[in-house]
Amino acid sequence: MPVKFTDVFYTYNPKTPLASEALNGISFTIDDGSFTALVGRTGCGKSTLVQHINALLNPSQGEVEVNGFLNASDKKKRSKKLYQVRGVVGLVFQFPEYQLFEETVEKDVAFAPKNFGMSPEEALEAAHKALASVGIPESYYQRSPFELSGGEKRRVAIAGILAVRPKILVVDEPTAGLDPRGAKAMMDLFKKVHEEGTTVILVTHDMNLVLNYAERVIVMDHGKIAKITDPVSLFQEDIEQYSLETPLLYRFVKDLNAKGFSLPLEKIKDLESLSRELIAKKGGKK
Amino acid sequence: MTFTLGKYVPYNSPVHKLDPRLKILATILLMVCVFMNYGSWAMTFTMEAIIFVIAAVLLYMTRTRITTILRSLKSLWMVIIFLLLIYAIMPTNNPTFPIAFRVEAWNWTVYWDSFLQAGKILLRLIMMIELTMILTSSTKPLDLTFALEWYMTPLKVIHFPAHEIAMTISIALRFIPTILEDTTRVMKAQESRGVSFTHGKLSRRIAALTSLIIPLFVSAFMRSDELANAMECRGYDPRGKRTRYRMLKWHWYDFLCLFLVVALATAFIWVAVDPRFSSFLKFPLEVH
Repeated sequence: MPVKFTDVFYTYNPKTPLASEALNGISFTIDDGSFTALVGRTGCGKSTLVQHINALLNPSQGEVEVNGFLNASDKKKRSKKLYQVRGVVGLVFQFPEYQLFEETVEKDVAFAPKNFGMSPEEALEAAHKALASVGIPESYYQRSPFELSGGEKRRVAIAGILAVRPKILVVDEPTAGLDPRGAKAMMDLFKKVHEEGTTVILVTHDMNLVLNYAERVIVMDHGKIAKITDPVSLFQEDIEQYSLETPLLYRFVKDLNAKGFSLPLEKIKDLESLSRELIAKKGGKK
Repeated sequence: MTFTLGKYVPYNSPVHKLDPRLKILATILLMVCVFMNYGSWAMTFTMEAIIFVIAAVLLYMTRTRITTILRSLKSLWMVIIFLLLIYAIMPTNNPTFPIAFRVEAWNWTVYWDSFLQAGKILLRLIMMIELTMILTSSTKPLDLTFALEWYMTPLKVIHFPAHEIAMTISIALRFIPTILEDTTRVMKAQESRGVSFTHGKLSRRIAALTSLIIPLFVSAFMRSDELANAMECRGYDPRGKRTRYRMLKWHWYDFLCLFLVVALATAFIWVAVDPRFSSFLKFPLEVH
């Protein structure tokens, strides 16, 4: 059980007039090797929650268990050397390109592995592997990260996290501001990483990504968990109340149904299953 | 990261209502009073105490918490020790107090004056902090810059860029919280990459600092570029004439305060200048 939240509360600026409760009694577990999406309106506490997973924030109340590390509100109960959890959890912030600082691409990617105790040679090797996996060609390794394009910077920054080979990868809006092809390549990369056994937690506003990639969805609303379910059953319901948008595919099916079709929403997951249902409706073989 | 010292706190106190132009002038005058010499030690400390009481009353009126001042003092303790050492080492000219102690081996004499001198400097420092705190915690930064611009308007005759300077200051003030936000964001991102800003060897911590500063510079330059473009897109011309949403108005209580502050400053300057006052009050042990 790599990630387990037990009744977690978090308050920003406690005991001041500016106090605001970001998390309000959160409990859930995320299984090993799963692909979970975390969704909800802006300001519902997603980013706060994610920062508890690698101990950047400590809960005001309750505890978070991550791969044997315990991040609790009670200082005595907290694991010693809790910061080492950051070697297990790779957290990719929104717009990670802002964290680049080294002279060369290669050095920047090797920065995190070195911090987590790899020797310089090992770190460089890990960096090269990670750079290859995000599709950065070898000719870029000696260039300054600041001369790259926006999309390339983002890929280098993500390689900087992947190079640590985290067991759990948390990505916050990884496709924001990328062109469609770049976004798809990025998501396919996370899919590949997931298939290699990494637990992936994806924070996003894009429900199409949720439908295409996630196995489970956690919906948050006002610092609470509104729903934990799988994407297909989530999109059956009215999700406007959580300020979420129905994915294109489902909107298409719903429009078709409104025009007289009667396609079963729960059986449709992707284009393939949709065409199967359509063929069946026409009287063809499934 | 906390940024409490001198942050504007929106209360509705009498000090808040005063005109920012008056508040700047009053702060400067009170500072002058703090930094003048009043002759004998007893005189000096009496006069400083009077300003201290005034500052304390004003602080109370602006509802500044005492804890914030104490916190600012906590970071001053190194300065205090340093001051004491410097004044103890430096030879005292015209000591007015008897010898505190003597180190015969080094032929080194320390008079009580050294301690009083260090105390005086410390008191002045504290009052400087208090006075600026009253000003900045009761005045919106934008109002402050408007007031500064108002003071600089006469200089426009000699083509002094008063408006440009005021604009630069207000932009700088506006971006302090933004850059602080950036700082926490980059810190968190680098901490996720295994950096520790608080633990570890010095060399590691210096490396940690570069990983923070470089991204901060990059984003600050980017922001300034974007802001410059945005301003130009909206037709900003530094030399253009413009109206203002919030006008500075001078009320009757501003006049009253101006009168009080000027009267106080005059009295203090008189006391400082007139030789009859210089040894009006004396500590029992004082010689001169």
